[in-house]
This record gives sequence, structure tokens and C-alpha cells, in this order.
Amino acid sequence: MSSCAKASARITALSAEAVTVTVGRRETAKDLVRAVSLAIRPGEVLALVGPNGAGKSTLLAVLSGGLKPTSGTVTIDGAPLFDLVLEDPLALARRRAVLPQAEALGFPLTVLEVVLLGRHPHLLGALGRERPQDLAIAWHALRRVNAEHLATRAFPTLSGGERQRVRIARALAQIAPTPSPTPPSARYLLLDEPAAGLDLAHARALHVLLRAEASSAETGIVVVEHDLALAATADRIAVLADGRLVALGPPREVLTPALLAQFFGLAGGLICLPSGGLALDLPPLATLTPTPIPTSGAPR
Amino acid sequence: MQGLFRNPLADPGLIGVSSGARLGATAFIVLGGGSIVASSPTAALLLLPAAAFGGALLTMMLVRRLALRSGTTHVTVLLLAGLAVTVFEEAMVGLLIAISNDEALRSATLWRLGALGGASFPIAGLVLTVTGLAALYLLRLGRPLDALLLGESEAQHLGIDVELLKKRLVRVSALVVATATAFVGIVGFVGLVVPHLVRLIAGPSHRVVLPASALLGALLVLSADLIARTIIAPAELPLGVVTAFVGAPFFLWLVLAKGRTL
Repeated sequence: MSSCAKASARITALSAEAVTVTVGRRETAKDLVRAVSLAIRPGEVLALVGPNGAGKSTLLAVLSGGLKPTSGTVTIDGAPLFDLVLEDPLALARRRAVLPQAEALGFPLTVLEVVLLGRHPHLLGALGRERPQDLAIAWHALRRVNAEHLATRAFPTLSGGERQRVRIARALAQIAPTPSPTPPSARYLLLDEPAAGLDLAHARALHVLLRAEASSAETGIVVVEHDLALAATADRIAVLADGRLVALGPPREVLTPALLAQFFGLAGGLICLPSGGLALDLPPLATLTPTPIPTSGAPR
Repeated sequence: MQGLFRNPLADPGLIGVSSGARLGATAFIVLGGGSIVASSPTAALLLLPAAAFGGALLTMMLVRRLALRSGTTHVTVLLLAGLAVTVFEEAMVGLLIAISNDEALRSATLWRLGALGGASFPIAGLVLTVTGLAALYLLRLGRPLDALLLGESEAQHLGIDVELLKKRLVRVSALVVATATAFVGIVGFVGLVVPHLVRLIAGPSHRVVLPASALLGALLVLSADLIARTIIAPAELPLGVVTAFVGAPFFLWLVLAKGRTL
């Protein structure tokens, strides 16, 4: 079944086939990711969840082309991803944006300059100047994350949550297509804990934005998310534990009490609220005693 | 350099290029330059810079080698290796000075402090060609350097070959520094302070900082040279003394005043 995906060059998906990432030498070798296969299609939001150290960031790095897996293949719309990384990184960057976990920016570039850097892969030559449409795209991206008013501020002076929103705008601007006669190819957006540091309202607004980006711009989105209630708003959830993909499917089918207990060490379940929203129902803290959280969900 | 290390205190001396040039020059002056200078002053005029240039380039290659970790340049190791190599080379210079005679000592010290006095049109032309070409080349790296400010992985995901960029930056700046140092000596603090002045005036984007730093740097060195030659005329003060006298207090002020935002 999975070999069909490789054979067809027409398939539009970012897909991983039996990807394994091993670190360390023979005796101390450890698989950070083990034989994971999954495909992200344009138009869908896939939430990647799992306990700390489950391999989420590693898998995201493999899907983004930043880390070559020890074995297995990754393809983007049928083409081997790592060939593209070597041959035409700018073409890849035009259709695939990545938001890693935050790094410090030491020099006071302005917010608008940071977002405009997202347009780098679209500009001809290193001396190519930003065109008016690039500026328009940058402003539009800032509006979408509610950060238009920050445009002239120096990036390092922003609060953690404001910076995160600006970084998201940078990623959105990167894959925004330039108007052209040829129809744009599928685009992918990979985000590592984009909601980190965001307050509840902005975190929810972010997921609304991702939803809109996925359906209107035909972008396939992978988002690493720790908040299971937020993750449950995605189209599909992939649960990683100890490097393995232990569940993949619609949130309500995946996040069962049994799965939460086994892999997250949580006694509780996802409940449907009268409003139609989802919430995580957990027992009150007072009824619990401090116990160590299992480091790896899968029993050996 | 400051862009590469993403650290506002970086300057080319950090990766050992300046001390390499110094070791090359001192070795030449102390270990046999004297006799050559006596027999043929013209040959000495060319051989001293050649020795300094060789020292700088060898050091750069060594430091880069040390910082290579499975094919990628580890910036922190680059910095620490540069520091270790600098200390070692300074010790070698100290050793050479200890065994040198008075005359060699004086000329080695004066070389170290820098002077534009040796300038003649062919030499100026050579330096101008090398630095001019390098400056044009660096201009093209402006936006990639800005992207590098976002972090190495973010620059990578923007389609920039970060490893190639680092390699080019280290090579080009080593070449420029080696060339300039070989003929002029070590002129302190210009490489550190000038980019900061430019950022204060025009913001941190490398597309402005790179060309403006080159122009402002040249202007400052010329002004310092003017002061150096006139202030105790007819004698001449070493250029490095003037730039360090102005540069060090400015640097301190910068650290104290901007410490919180650095």
C-alpha cells in the first residue's frame, strides 16, 4: 500500500515512509523516531502530540528537510525531499515554511524587517530588492496575526507572545504565493509549538488562523502542540510515544481515555461540551497524590 | 563578523587572524628580517607583509579546521578555538621578542601598533583591489546575513545554505583582514566599533551596515592617521594607539549604556 505513494509522482502530499532516526553508536544507540509513516495533504491541519521526549521535534525536523533520517524516505509531492534540499533550497523554501522553537535575536531588526525576511526565497538574487507585492504580503501576514501595530517596533523589545506572533507572520509570508500565471503548487507549513508563550485567546486565534490558512490557501499544516484541547481542533492527530507513531486519526477517535492513560499518564478523557467545543476532563488535583510520570508510554 | 557570531562584541581578531599576522610579522622581523632589510629594503617592504599575510591565512585555516564538526562549522567552537590559538600565538610572539635585539623589538612593536606610513600607490592599489572586491562580494551576502540573525535553523529553512555562508564569511573576512593587517599592522577597535556606530545611525540591517561600515571605517582610520601624524609632529604616533585611545572608552560606554539591550 505504502509503496504506491512512492511510485506515483502526481501525489500531492508531504509524506514520510518508514522514517527512523538513530543517534549514538552501536551499544548506546537510541531511536528518536522509529519507523514512522504518515502523509500530510494540502488543506488539512495535522496536530503532532506526545509526551516530552517522544520525538515530535525530531520528526518535524525530518519532515522539514533539516534532518536526514537514518533510514526511510520523505517525499514532497512525490519528489524526494532531501534531493530538493541539496539541489534547489530556495524553490523548497517557497513552498515549505518552518517555525522552529524560538531562538534569540540579538540585533534590533524591526518587526517589518523580520517578516520581510520571509520573502527572501521569492526575490531574484541576493541583491534583489523587495517588490511592492512583497511588502503587501508582509503587511497582510502581520494583520493576520494581529501584530500590524508592532510593525516599526524593534523585534527584541517585544514580549514573548508578541515575538511568537511575528515569527508566525514571517512563516506565513514565506509561503504566500506571488501572483503568477502558473497555478501555485501545494504548500506546507511546519510549526514547532507555535502556541508556546501565547495567552489562551491568542493561542486559539492562532489555531483559527491555521485552520483558515489550510482550507483557503490549500496549505498542509503540521503543528506540534502540547495543549490536547487545542490539538483536538485539528483535522487529524498523530500521537508519538517513545519515537513510534501509536495513533493517527480524527481527534475524537484518537484521544480516548485508554490512550491518555497509557501514553500521557493522565487519568481523564476528552469530553464534548454543550457548546460543541472539546475539553479535557481531568480529576481535581486534590484527589491525586504526587506520582512520577512514566518516562515512556509504551510498556516494554 | 558580528552577524556571523550573532554577538555584538565580535570582531575579526576573534578568530585569530590578527594574532596570526602578528606572529608572521614578528617572526620575520626577529628571525632574519634584519639582514634582508639591510641588504635590500625593497625586498623587505614586500616580504614583511607576505610573512604577516601567511601567518594570518595559516591561522585562519587552522581555526576553521578545529571548528569543523562533522562537516558543519560550529560557531562557538570557532570562537573558542580562535581564542586559544590567539593566546598561543601571542605567547610565541612573546618568546620571539624575548630573544630579539633592541632594534628588532622596536620595529616589531611599532608594526603591531599599526601605521599608514608605509603606504605607496602600488600598495594602496593592491589593498584597494582586494578589499574592494571583497566588499562587493560581501554586499551580496547582506540579506542572507540578516536572515542568519533569526537563527541558523530559520535561515536554513529560508533556503539559505548556512554552511556555505559561514565558510564564505570566514574566508573573505580573513582575506581582507590579512591583507590590511599585512601592510598596515594591527589597528585596534575599528572592526569592533564602526559597525556599532553605523547601527546606531542607520539600524541593524546588513544591507546598510556592510557598505556603511566600510566607508565609515576608512574615514575614521584616515582621521585617526591625520591625528597620529600631526599631534606630536614632526614625530609620528602609531595609528593603533590613536584608534585604541578613542575606541576603548567608546567601547566601554557602549557596553555600559547598551548593556541591557545587547
